Amino acid sequence: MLEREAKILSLAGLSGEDVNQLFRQALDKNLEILAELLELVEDDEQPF
Amino acid sequence: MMSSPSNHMPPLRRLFSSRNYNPEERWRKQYRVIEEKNDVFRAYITVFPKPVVESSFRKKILRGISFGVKDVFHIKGYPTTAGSKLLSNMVSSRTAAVVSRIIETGGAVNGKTNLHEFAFGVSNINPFYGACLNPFDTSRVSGGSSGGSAVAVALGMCDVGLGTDTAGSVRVPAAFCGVVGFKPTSGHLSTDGVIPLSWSMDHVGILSRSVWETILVYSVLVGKPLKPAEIRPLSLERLRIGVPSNYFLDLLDRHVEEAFEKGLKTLEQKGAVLEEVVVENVEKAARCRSVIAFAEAAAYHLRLSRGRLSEYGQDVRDRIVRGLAIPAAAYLNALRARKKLVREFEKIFTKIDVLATPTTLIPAHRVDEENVEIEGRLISVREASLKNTEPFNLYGAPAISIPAGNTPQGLPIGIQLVGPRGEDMKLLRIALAVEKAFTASS
Repeated sequence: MLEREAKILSLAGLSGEDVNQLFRQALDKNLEILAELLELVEDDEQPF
Repeated sequence: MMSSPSNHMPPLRRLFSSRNYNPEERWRKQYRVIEEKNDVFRAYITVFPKPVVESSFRKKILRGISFGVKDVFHIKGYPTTAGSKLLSNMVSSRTAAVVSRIIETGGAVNGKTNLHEFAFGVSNINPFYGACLNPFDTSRVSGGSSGGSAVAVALGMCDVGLGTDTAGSVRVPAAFCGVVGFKPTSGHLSTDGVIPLSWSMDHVGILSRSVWETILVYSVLVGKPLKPAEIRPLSLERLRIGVPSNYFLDLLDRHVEEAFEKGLKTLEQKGAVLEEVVVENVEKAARCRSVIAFAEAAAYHLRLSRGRLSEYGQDVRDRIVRGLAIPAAAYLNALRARKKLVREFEKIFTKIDVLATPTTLIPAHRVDEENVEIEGRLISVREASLKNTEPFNLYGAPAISIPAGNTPQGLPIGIQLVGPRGEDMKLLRIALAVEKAFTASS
């Protein structure tokens, strides 16, 4: 995971532990939001 | 530091149709104000040596009304910095659609106004072009991200400001600076030629000293120009005003709460009917907006910066990092959830004509504040500024902030009125009536 986040951040020209940590914290929070969002999304018509 | 802004410019509404209206003289006075005050307030990033205007402007409907344009709108031959060091040497090769329309219809653009870097923030403390300060108190922020346009209007540096609003960036500085700020229905004003923050949430908006100028300019920009005599308020008699019982009024600065209640009472006395409404899932709408806007901003800036994100101001850089950490599934499901949230929101307009909320939870905060205490709770100035405005960017609904009194220290407070999508002119005519009622009661 560390390597992957470093790759994304290097595309933006960023590096360093502080920015990696910010990224990780944001990812954790965004995963919580994702779970919440799933409850709001309406299913398309499903054949079951 | 605390003072009322000295706007000596006679209100446009009174002058515009009279023989005494002399736009060139007005421009000269406005340039003098810019010369005297811009070094302190940092409202403009670029002041044009003379207004960009068509020679036949006198025969056109806008008749030389002057505009300060947020520095994200391209104007051919002039710099567009977006408030960033990264673009400091860039000159635009084309003109944004709304600016072209303003010039074609007789408007005069006198410069490009200051903003939060890349419109990605709400304080307008810009590390590269200076903090844009509040016209009522220079120890406080103007609000952002269209704060430069709000300050320029408040101080009489121009007649009308052009801004963009992705979470509240027109309405928040309007509330903090004591002017009117209008964000129309999503898509009503073209974002073509505007540096984006979030293409799904960006709205072009108008800032002005009173609702009258906003109606005139909006009608021109959407191609249905109104003559001054046709700009009339709607009656407040039996108008159904929705007062939210959830979310919007949960946590308010005491003075904001008092001004809001006083405003509602004034409207009730004028015959309006107050209806309590619940806006279902509104807190989820706010989070959904945030996911979409942050992901889109990160995608845009990954390309724009081409590895130079370290040259951004730290707050904006950190927001872009947060956007980079949004999983694709979160972004896509936020877009899908939007449909349901919009449908839920629109139901409220079966019961009411317009929704009213305080524009912000607080009056303008101090430049050095990152958090504010309300009712014993510490919240970020970002939340205190944007909480009540950002859901309407997700909903795409028209919303306007109008001045609704001041704190005992003299800081302005704004009330936000929101209408259903597509009913912008009705909302504006209601706002004109509300403004008149507030002025009469003050």
